[in-house]
This record gives sequence, C-alpha cells and structure tokens, in this order.
Amino acid sequence: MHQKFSICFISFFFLFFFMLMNLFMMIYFIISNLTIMIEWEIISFNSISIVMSILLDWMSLLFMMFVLLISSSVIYWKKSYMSSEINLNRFIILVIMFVLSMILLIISPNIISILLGWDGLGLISYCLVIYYQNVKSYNAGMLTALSNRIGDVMILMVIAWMLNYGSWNYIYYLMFMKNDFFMNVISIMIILAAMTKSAQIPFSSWLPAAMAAPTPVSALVHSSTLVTAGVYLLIRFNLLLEDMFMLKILLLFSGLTMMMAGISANYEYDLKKIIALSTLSQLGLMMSILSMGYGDLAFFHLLTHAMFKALLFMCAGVLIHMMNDNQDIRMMGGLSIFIPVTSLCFNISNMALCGIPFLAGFYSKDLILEVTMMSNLNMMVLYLYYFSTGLTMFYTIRLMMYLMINDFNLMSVYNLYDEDYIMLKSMMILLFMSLISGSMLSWMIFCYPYMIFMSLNMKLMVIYVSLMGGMMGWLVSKMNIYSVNKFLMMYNLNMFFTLMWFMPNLSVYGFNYYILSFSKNLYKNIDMGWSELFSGYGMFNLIKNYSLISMIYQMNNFKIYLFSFVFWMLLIMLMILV
Amino acid sequence: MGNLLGSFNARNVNLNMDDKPTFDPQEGFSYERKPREMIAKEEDLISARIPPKYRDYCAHHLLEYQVCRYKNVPLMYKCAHEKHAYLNCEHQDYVMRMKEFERERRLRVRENRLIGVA
Amino acid sequence: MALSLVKKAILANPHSLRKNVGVFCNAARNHWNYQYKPGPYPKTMAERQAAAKKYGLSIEEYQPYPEEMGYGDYPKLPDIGADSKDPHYPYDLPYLKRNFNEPFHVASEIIGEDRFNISVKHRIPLWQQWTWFLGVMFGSYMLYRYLDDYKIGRPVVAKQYPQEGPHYMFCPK
Repeated sequence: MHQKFSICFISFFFLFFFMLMNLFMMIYFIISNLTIMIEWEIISFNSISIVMSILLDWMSLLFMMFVLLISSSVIYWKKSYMSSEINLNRFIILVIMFVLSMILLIISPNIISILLGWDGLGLISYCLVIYYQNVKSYNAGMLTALSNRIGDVMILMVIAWMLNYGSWNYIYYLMFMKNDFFMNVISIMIILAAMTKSAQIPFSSWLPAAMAAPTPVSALVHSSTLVTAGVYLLIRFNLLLEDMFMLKILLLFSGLTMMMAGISANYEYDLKKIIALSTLSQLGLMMSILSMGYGDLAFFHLLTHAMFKALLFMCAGVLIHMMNDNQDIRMMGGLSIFIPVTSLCFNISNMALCGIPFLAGFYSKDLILEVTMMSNLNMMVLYLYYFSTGLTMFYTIRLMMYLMINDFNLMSVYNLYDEDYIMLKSMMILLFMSLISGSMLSWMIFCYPYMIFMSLNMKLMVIYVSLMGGMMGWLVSKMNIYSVNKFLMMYNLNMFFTLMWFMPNLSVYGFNYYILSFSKNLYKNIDMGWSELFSGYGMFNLIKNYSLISMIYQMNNFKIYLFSFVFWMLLIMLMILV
Repeated sequence: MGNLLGSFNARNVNLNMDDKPTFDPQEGFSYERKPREMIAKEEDLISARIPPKYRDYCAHHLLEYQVCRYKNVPLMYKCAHEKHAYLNCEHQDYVMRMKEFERERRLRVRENRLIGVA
Repeated sequence: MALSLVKKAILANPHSLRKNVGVFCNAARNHWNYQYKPGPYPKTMAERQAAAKKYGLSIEEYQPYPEEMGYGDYPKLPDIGADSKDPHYPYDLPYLKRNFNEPFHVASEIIGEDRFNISVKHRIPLWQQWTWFLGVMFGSYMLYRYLDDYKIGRPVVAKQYPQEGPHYMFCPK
C-alpha cells in the first residue's frame, strides 16, 4: 500500500483544512464575543424538552482546532511509523473515529451527547490499546476500559438525575441552581467522572498501563485528548462548582497526583512510562488550578500542554523505532550527537514542559504558579505545587541526561538515522506550534488580563525550585559506581514511590480476586444453577412433561373417552347435590 | 520569603485576606481623604458586556484595551501599551488594598491596646 | 470486506445459515452441556481410582473438593496462575500455556493469563501495600484539614467596587 494518495494523506489534508477553518472562525468568535448554538428539538412534552444541540463558542472552537492539529500531525507521522503494519486501514479508521468522538464531546452542551462522546472515547481507546494483540495489551486494555467505565456510570446517573430539571442542557443550569441539594450531588458525580477519565488518585493506575498501545495512539490519545476530556468537562461545569466542599477534596487529590506522578517518574526506566507519568503530573496541575476557580487558566495549560506533549511522544516514537523497538532508557544515550534534529525537538518539548521562560509551557505554567501565590490557600497546596514543579525539572533533566549525555548503550549506532522526512515534517509542525502557541494564546484568550504583584523572592521561587530539581536530576543520573541511589537501602520506601504508591497493584491484586470469585459463585450457583431450574431448561422440561401428559388424551384410546364421560357425569351429580 | 506569610501575622487580630475594613474611613486622618472616582460610565460597561467582577475603578483602561484588541485582531501583541496601562492601574489598586489592610491591622492593634488598658 | 464475510456466511452453502445461527444460539444458550457434568463425589477407593483415571491424573495427585461445595468428583488442582507458569516450556497450546488433555482448573477462566494471577508472590505483602497507601492518603487529608485553618493569603482587603459605597485614597483633597 505505497500509493501516493493513501488514506493517511487524505485524512491529514482533510483534518488540516478543517483546522484552518476553525482557526479563522475562532478568531472571529473571540473578538466579537459570539456564541452560536444550533438546536434540533426532538420531543418536548410536559415540562421536559429533549433537544440535540451543538454549541460553538470560542472555547470549543479553540480546543477543536488544537485537537485537529495534533491528530492531523499524528496521522501523517503514523504513515511512516506503522509502515510495516498490514492492517493500516483499520488503525486509521479507529483513530478517525476517536477524533470524531472527541469533537462530539467538545461541541456538546448537553449531557447526552457528552455521554456519546465520552463512551466513544473510552471504547475506542480500549480498541486502540489492545491493537497489538498480546496478553499484556489485553490486560492493559482491560484496566483502561474498566477504570473509564466507572466514570461512564457516573455520567449515566447524572443523565438520569438531570432530567429532573427539565432538560439535559446543563449549560442553562449552571448559574442558577447552586444551592440545590440535588445539583450538588450531580456535581459530585461529575467530579468523580472527571477524576476517572483524567486519571487522578485513586484511579490513576490506567494511564501508565495504557502505554501498551502503539506510540501514535499514545501521542494522540494519552497526551492531549482522552485525558483532557475530564478536565474539559469540569471547565464547562466550573460555574456550577464554585464554593463546594468537594472542590477542596479535588484540590487535595489532584495536588497529590501531581506529586506522586513526579516522584514515580524519577524511578522509571521505560521511556513511554516516564512520559505518561509526566502527563499525569500536568493533569494534576490542570485539575488543581481548576478546583481553585480559575477555569480559563486550566484551559490554557491544557492547550499548550497538548502541543508539547504530543511532540514529546512523537520523538519518543522515533527513538523507539530506531532502537529496534526497545523502550528502556538505559539502552539509549548520546543521542544529541547522532540524531540532532530529533533531539532538538525532544529537548525543546522537554524544556517547554518544565516552564523554561518564553517557550510554550512558560506562559501557562508560570501564570498558574503566580496566580496560586496570589490567592488564599493553605500551606500544603502551595508546597505541593512548588515541589511538583521542582520534580518536573528533576525527571526532565534525568531523562535528558540518560538520553543525550550519557553513553550509547545499545549494539551499534548504524540504526540511528534522522532522515525520515515524513516523521520530521509532522514534528516540525508541532515544534513550531509549541514555540509560538504559548505567547499567541496568552494574547488571544485573556481578554481580561491577570495582574500579578509579588516580591522578588516569591517570583523567583519558581526558578529556585527548578534549579534545585535540575541539580538533583543531574546528581542522580551520574553513572558512578558509588551512587547511593542505586543501592537497595530503604527498599520499601523506594518500592512505594516506584510503583506509583502501589495503586496499580492494589487496584488489580487487592480487589480483583474477591470480585471475580464472587461473580464465579454467582454465575455457577444462580445463573447456571437455580435459575436454570426455574426458567431456561427447567421450564423447558416442565412444558415438555405437561405436553406429554396432554398427549395421552390424544392417543385415540377409547377408554379415555368413556372414562372422561363417566368423570363428567360424576362431577355434574356432585354439583347438583352440593 | 518575607512576604509569603504576608497576612499570617495579622491572624492575631483576626484579620484575614479579603476581609472588609470595619473602621470609619476617615478615622485617624488629619486631612480629608480624597474619594476615588469611577471614570468609565455604567452604560459603556454594560454595552461592552464586561463581567461584573471586572467593573472596578480601573475599568476605563479595560475598555481601551478591548477597543485596541478589536482593532488589531489578529496581531494582538500591538496592544501591549494599553495592557500595560491597565495592569499598572490594577497594581496601584492592589497597593491601595495593601495599605488599607495595614491600616486596619494597626487600628485593631490599637483597639486591643486601648481595651487592654481599660 | 464485511460484506464478503456476510455473503460467505449466509449465501454460499445452503446449510451454512443454519450452522452459523446455531453457533450464535449455542453461545447464548446458557444451559450446561450434560457431557461436561462431573460425576458424584467419590466415596470408595474404586470410585476414586476411576475418577482419577477419567481426569488423567494419578491416584496420588487426585484430590476432590469437599463434598458440600458441589463440585462432585472434579479434582482440586494446585492454584497456579497462568502468568506464573514457565514461559519457555514447549506447550501444545502455547497461548493458553497448557498441554493437550491437561485438566482445567475449576476457576481457570479467572486465573488465566488475561485475568488475575492467583499464585503471585508479592515482594511487599499486600496488607503492607494497603497500609502504606491508605496511611498516606489519610495522613495527607488530615494534614490538609488541619492546615485549612492556617491559610496563607496576601495582605489585602476585599476588592473595592464602585457600587459598594464611597472608597477613599490616601492623599488629601
């Protein structure tokens, strides 16, 4: 299938054109402060109105633009990455369906079409994770699908409950029903659904496990679109959720997620898992700034993070391809000498992740940190934010040391080639966007700028923690023999941090066996046991026996007719006498 | 990090961030204080659809900024001067809030001292 | 592609429709196959030997479940999850890690390779993992609640809006 106009090119051009159209519409919508809502009324009776709507405002158009840009780049990149795959058509159709569900989620102001998009995302990400059909992928896919399913159940319950208020368009209810008890319950469920989708504690075991998917899937799904669907849902609901008690819990959990992912990424040696954990850390950041009430800052960070994280995954994919499908960073090294262009993209996206000034991540991340400094918080949250920023720098410098500076550890350097132009072209698009999108977005989105005023030391605290984190990262990855971090001291504590606070272990080994054996007992005793007796086979037997009995009367035996005559006479005489 | 625990010392007099001042505005001043003026008109703010929480004493700079953004789209970086003017005005407002806070704290400390003596 | 499959399933062979529908009905029909039903619980030695021979086990390693569990004479195989079995042994069915005619464990769908692994030996015991995790979560929640009274804010009063009465500057008229 090496024809010139394969399905990759067609879908790339289509998505790119759609993205450009969105760009122009979005600029127009931001400036004229316009919101368009297109509705089709399905049925309306008795104070319930069921409508199908599409909401186009600047937020949804902007998000759609970014999703389309990333997906078009990834599809184009994938043509070269999966060129040895025979079923490429199937894969691309799955990715396009994924993009369509994401778009459906973005533009919908009512809960039913959000459910369609949400469930579509969960299902298609399951199909994509199990794409390489071996047992490890099956397990990873099951973990992904079941964790997402909890969120789906929450949204289903919200649907049922929201019909109480007349329609499923939550957009209309946001400002008006803040003190209603049932609306509070609905918001708690929405928060739980977003926590499962965006992999906060305690549901965060699926995100590193889902790295069993092919790398294009990780670049598209697990960096920018699927995991941000939860954050997007909460941004839409942000007006409803102010001053709730559950928001404080969300703040704590997302702050802990930030820290946990940062710590665990420091102990990991699998390249894709490190990037997955860094995604998890940034998701925690987005959720926590959202729970403080600054929804537009969360949105801004979502967009810029999508840019450089997709680029990071693509560079990681190129590296894995070159290392003969090996993902261990201990086997890589010295790459800045051998593959300069790819390592350029990698370095720039890493630095954007840390918040190096004037790259894409700086505008969003620094603004978030300064705004939290300026607001009224308890000390623990402030500590979590700044410590996680330092940890981001820590694992980034460690990763760059392992990949770029330390020596090359694999067989031969012949494999390392940088001239795969298809992959490079799509990485260049994202590189350009990750350089300028920070500043471009910060001018466009913030119609009402944030004023930041703090003393010199407070403002420089970001730099202080980054430098400290960087220094720790450099110290840890020096390959000396006398290097304390490679010893087995404090084994339990290290295992606690490595295995993501034991969450994957606990959600698999802690729960599964009891639930599975309970369901086995239910199935064996009730489904295949007693209820086969009362319905199913037992009923079949009963009816068969009764029809056998009733066949006796039809055997044309004369004695039956005489007996039934006598019996009937007896019965009539009995009735006359009594 | 001297200013990090900025309002921490005011906890002794039960004063936290975003509290309203409780004393009479003229108390303790030997001169008469100048009132703040609201320059932007109410109907301008309403027709520009600025959200209520941004309709403070700096709103005239905000209106200039919005006008400049509308004229310069998509090259919005050309509005840096108006944005800087708005942020400066907000900065002055913030400093004034800090001064009010400090004044409130000192008045409360003085109150406690007077009550303690009496 | 899908259309050709459908055509092959329905139209090619006149009996194929019945067979294919039969496959689906069999999958949905819940009643168990009478040939799979194990025999009654073996009480005498001769019955045990016959049962051991039926399941392909030797008489020493044949051990049925206790009678009240309702499994009849089905043997109790050691609980080894498929993930713990040797990956390099040349099995007859490598994807199930099973040889031909090897008796299935009673709960073999639970302890298969794509489900739970019942014979894993954790390096850190499971109760300890629960303690660490729940301890950290609970401890941080308690710390958070305690520190909620000690908020760090900036030394500013509430924002001054023009609707809320006259506000004054710090200079004379």
